[in-house]
Amino acid sequence: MDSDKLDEILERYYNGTSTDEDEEVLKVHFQSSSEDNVDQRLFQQLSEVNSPVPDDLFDEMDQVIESEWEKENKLKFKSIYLWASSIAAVLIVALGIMFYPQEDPTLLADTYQDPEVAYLETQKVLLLISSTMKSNSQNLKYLSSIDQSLSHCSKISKINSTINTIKSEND
Amino acid sequence: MNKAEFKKEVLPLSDKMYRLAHRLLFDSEASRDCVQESLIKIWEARAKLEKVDNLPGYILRIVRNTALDKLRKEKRIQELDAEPPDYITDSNYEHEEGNSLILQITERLPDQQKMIFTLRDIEGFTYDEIASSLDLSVNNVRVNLSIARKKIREEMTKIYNYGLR
Repeated sequence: MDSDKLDEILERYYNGTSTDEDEEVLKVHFQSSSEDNVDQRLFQQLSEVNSPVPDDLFDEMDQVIESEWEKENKLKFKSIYLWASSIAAVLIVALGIMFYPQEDPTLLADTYQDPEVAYLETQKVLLLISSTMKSNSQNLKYLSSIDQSLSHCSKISKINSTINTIKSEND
Repeated sequence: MNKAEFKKEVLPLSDKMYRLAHRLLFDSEASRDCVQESLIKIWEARAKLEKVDNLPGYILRIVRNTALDKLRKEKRIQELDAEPPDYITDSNYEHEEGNSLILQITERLPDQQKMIFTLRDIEGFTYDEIASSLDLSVNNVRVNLSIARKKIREEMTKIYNYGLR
């Protein structure tokens, strides 16, 4: 390479203004150069000291991604499963309530096979109800005495009106 | 970003992720763990990756933060154990006499210059990647790189011309 051009690129390199292309040119030049100067030694050493990256790093990182992806999918599946289970449980309960065999009210009509017996039983029940009502209505007799007392009270209002009439005549 | 896109965009950067981690942790296993942890963090945030302008920079920043967290944690453990750090004795850092010269000189640089020079001239990071990794502007990276390169050349000149170390 032309030494002036090389010096120019080296100047840019040491001034921190070199481009990627400039530095690539320098690397290639000093790799094949037989010069023995400080720049050549510097570039030669730089090419030998980078951190050795483990060969299996890429595969290992690929595995990390795969396992993270699997983990996420398992979690997703688990949450979907939980949702589905909850919904299924609710459905089962709802269907259970809907289709639970309830007692049909019309079944009461079939309590007695013989209508006459049923008639007699009904009579008995009605008699029981009427006798209970009768005994309780005895207690209601006291209400009539209260009524009588109240009618006596009405006389007081008559007295009151008479007094008022007298008062007005005096005035 | 789906799995295939993620692999296509992120996996090719695993080399650089490892190199950055190694420059901060100086330990092969710790660097590997760091890359793995970072990769999981990036995977978990993959829904946002499409909005990221500079993906390599974003990824390398995550690696750097993960490595720094590890260092802080290790420092705390070391303080508790009161034992000297062992990561500097990593076999990857033991080079032949001639090859290690540039690393020895680099070690004498201030931390920021050392990291910038290492990432650019040894590990081959782009200016943007370095700027993102270290939270600096590209201009700042170039200025520090220039100072570091000149210092290293000066030191090497002294050593090769005068046999001084």
